[in-house]
Amino acid sequence: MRQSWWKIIAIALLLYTLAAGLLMDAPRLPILNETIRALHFHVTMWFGMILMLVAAVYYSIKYLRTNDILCDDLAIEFTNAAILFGVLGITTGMLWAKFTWGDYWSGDPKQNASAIGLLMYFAYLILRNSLTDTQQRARIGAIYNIFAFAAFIPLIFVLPRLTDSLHPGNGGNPGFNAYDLDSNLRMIFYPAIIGWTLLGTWIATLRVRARRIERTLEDRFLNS
Amino acid sequence: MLKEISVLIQKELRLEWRQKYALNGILLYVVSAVFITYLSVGAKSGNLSINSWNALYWIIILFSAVNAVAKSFIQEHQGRQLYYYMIASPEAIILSKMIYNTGLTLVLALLGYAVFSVILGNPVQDQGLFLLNLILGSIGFSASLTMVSGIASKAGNNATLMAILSFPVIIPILLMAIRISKNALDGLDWSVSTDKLLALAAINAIVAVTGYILFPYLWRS
Amino acid sequence: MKKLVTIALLVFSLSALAQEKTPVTAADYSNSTVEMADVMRSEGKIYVLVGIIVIIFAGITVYLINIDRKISKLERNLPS
Repeated sequence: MRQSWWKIIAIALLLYTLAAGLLMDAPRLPILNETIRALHFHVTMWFGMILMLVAAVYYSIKYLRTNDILCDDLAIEFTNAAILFGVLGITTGMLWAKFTWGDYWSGDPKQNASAIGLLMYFAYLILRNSLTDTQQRARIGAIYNIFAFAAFIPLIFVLPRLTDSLHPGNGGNPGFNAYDLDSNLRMIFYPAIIGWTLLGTWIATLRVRARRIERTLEDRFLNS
Repeated sequence: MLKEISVLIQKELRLEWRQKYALNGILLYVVSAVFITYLSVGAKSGNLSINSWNALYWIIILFSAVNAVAKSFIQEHQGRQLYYYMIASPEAIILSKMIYNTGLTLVLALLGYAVFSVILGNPVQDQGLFLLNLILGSIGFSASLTMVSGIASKAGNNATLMAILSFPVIIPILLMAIRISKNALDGLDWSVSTDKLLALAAINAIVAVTGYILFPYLWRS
Repeated sequence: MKKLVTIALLVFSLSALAQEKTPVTAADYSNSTVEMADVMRSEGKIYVLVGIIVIIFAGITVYLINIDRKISKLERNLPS
């Protein structure tokens, strides 16, 4: 366990989230009822995903600057972890949507935007796999990663607000985001975001380390 | 820099003019696509609902633009690219390609519009807004597709790759354009569409600037 | 310069985030007309649920820690 303090924080925060998210008093809101608690589990997936994508873009930029292959490892693994969270987010979102909006897929712009975002990152994975040279794969992967992120941000933040959404306060529907979070919910929501993001980071770093071991072994094999 | 760009654009135009079959091919592509649509929906002029008119129009423009822009890097072989690499700066190359492709996409869009008006009817009530939207849409399409075609050309010139890489990136632009185009079709007041026009311009700018910053890295590899 | 433009554009797109929302008030906590799983809570069965989820999470965490330690061991055995 290298530098384990932040991993312990992640576990502690998540245990707190699980217990408090289920046990603490939640506001009693129509239609949402008890499912308001999904806030701490579903919405935080998206925040974790975005934060990890930001990290991936950061390492992509760093790779283009320095040509250090280790940065590329971090970029791809953060993206992988973000995709995992994204898939979990979209699945849990569909389940939640079924019970609050009546349909698994209700054409909500945010739902569509996140599906498109996932398509983008699947395309990124396919692009990477289609390249064989390590340096070229890293470079072109980094370029597309930054480019896709630049297209993803306006998509996820701007588009939903220009159309009627079942999500936040546009269109006056009773879905969850019509409500401003109060301090009680925030007390769980923010730690939950940090906890889930740290967990994702942990998984990502594990895979990065595995990759490095693999690379060292390969080099040794080639040199012997 | 400006001079370099104008020289490169002239070069693109001259190349295109010399190999007229490519240009003619893509123009025919648009016409055939519209005609196939016309036959498959079985619609007489004015028979199609405004929503479907709008959606069909933009989908055809999207596919023609992908096909037209895809060749901007894929067409040129390694030797010629190496030659450009020596004489021109990457910034000038990407800008000239983007400007040239904007023109090309705009021509395609206008042609598609003309053919659509003739055989499927022209329900557009606000021509000015519609044309402005076409121009903004063309800029966005060409900015993102040029960059993606550059990426795809590095990854073995694969047409499938070009499509899967470009579609998700282009969707925000396409959705905004379709929404504004709907307003133009309905003849709504311009004030309704201003924020959307601004958003479309902003997305274009973000995509173009990112492409501009990233292209030198792509070009060097 | 280029970076400044990019940042300005990003800030511009984020400014669209502002929106009106309904605040959650204290009254929402005591609004008994909205049905919640009160019976389950009063019977204490919610603790069973929390227990199950926490145990699953703990299992996954232990597994992750094991992987972490295994990788650390591999790293130590591979002086590079």
